[in-house]
Amino acid sequence: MLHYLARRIVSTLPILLGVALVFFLVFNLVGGSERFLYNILPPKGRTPETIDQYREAYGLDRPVLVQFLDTVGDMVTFDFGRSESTRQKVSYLIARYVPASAALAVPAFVAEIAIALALAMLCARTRGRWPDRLVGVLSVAGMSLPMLALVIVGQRFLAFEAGLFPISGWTRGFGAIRYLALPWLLWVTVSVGYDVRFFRTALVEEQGKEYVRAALAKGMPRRLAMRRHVLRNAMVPILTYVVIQVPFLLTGSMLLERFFSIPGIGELLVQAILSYDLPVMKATVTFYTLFFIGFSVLTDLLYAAVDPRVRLG
Amino acid sequence: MSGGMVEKGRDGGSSATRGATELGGGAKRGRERGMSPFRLSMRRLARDRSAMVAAAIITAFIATALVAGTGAFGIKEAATVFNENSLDTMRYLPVGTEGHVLGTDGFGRDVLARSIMGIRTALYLGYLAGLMTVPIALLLGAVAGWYGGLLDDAVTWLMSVVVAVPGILLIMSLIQIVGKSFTTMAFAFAVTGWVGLARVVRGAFLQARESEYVLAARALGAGDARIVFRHVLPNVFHFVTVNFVLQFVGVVKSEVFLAFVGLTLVGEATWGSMIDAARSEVSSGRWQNLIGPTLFMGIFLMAMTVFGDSLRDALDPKLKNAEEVRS
Repeated sequence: MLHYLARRIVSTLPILLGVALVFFLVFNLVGGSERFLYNILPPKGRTPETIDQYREAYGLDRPVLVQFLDTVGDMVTFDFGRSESTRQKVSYLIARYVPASAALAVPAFVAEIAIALALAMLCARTRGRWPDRLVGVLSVAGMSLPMLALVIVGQRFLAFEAGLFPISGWTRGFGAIRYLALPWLLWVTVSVGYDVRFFRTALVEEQGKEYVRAALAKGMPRRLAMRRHVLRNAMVPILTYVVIQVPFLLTGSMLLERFFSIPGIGELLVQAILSYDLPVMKATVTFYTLFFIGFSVLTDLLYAAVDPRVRLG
Repeated sequence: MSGGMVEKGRDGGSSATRGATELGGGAKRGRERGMSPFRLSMRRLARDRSAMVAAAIITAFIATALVAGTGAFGIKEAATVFNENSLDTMRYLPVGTEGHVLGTDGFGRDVLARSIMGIRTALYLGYLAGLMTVPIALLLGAVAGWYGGLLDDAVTWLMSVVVAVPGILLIMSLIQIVGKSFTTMAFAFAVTGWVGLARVVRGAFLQARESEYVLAARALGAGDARIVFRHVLPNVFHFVTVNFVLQFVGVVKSEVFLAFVGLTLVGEATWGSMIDAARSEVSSGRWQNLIGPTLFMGIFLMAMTVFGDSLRDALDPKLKNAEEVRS
């Protein structure tokens, strides 16, 4: 176990290096650094002299390899300096923006999975009849509608006209729930369709297995068979599916964060990209990558814990 | 629509008994014997009612887009040209105005016409992204799975890296650096979107390398190229097709997000830019830019999703015998 963990941690290093490389290629070789210099200067300040001056200040005149190693160094030591646009410490920004993202993503994701599971069970029970078909159609509809349109409609009717939610905003602490309610609702509406379809397939497949038929034949009540056999065994693919989603939660909420001005990490990343804020970009990408890799390792460990057939090594 | 795969897999077992008990069963089997697997798949697809409805809708959308692109019926003009008949204050015409069924936008452009032109953008983006993704994914996946060793390690590493970088960062940065164009957008979607397909292809090649049919081909003297193109590649064909459809839906939806962060093409008729424009217009009660594209996109993507589902079911070689029960 420990051996495996150690090996996994070592194996993340090349991935981090690769991410640094991608990042570096995009921003320094494709012409990003020139754009970056151009965009951080106010229009009047864009003289060749000041651009050279800034190039020197950011170390963009050094050999490419040195710059690359520098980027890797930043990523490994978590030292990204200060933001270009707000002059705040990047580490401070990250620590400030992550909780808001978590407050948006975690409850929404939990609700999404719970609702999807309930609907999928309904579908599996009424397979082929109208509740199943209705949920199926609604799932596809939810997957096909543009999220932005739903967000606009939700904000207009539910928040503005019906007054059920505040239109947008943010406070620290538990008061934020008021502002998060509508984004949560929209999140669930948009993403529940994918889950329902997957869960339904898993449940229906399990339902059709011989051992379930045997259980029913010997007189086990359908409800009990469902709970004791079908649901438990279907949990393996369902759990896999759920865990795979987790690393994507951080960026999945970008649109909602931006639209409802929730100060989350996705919003931070989008802002950094749009304003060419290089240090913040580096930091958010590093954070995202580490989160992603960390969760992949955790997933493997979880499998080994849940499924006795899986052996790590 | 019904989660297909599974049901049919289950019913497939009973179809054998059915064929044996029913008199007509034998004759039907005989007719099918000479058919290639692909033709059998297409037959299954043709019998799937929801798939055919979806295909009809998709065809209608594509045909409309093609006709509109030629400038027929003045659609192209109405979508781009300033409407000189309306006074400045009356450029916005509400939904249901005579001559402008879905109204006009702030520049007096017909929203229906722009929604139709939006199909062209969606098709262009979706197909181009797909066309760029498929070769990358096939090549890397096949090479990794077939040759293994160091090449496999390299490709696997590349896949982990691409997944670990937030896709939206790559897409947004590429567009910002290379410049806004639909081709750049499609390329960015391809660069971030190939991993899923490549993984599946790699797995399939890994399996094929050890399989008996490959061994048989090799024993008969077939070279690597012949085995790969003639024997293995056709087996991943259904992954490619289904992935293409799914990616198409994803790309069209992502364009809306790009429009939202201001990275779509200004002035072009895209569903994303229209919905994004509606963001500031609904507060003054102008819904036309929301209704038009949402309607078009919703119907189009629903049809694509349904068709993709049916296509997956029809192309899956494991479900070959299940068709009678379903129809």
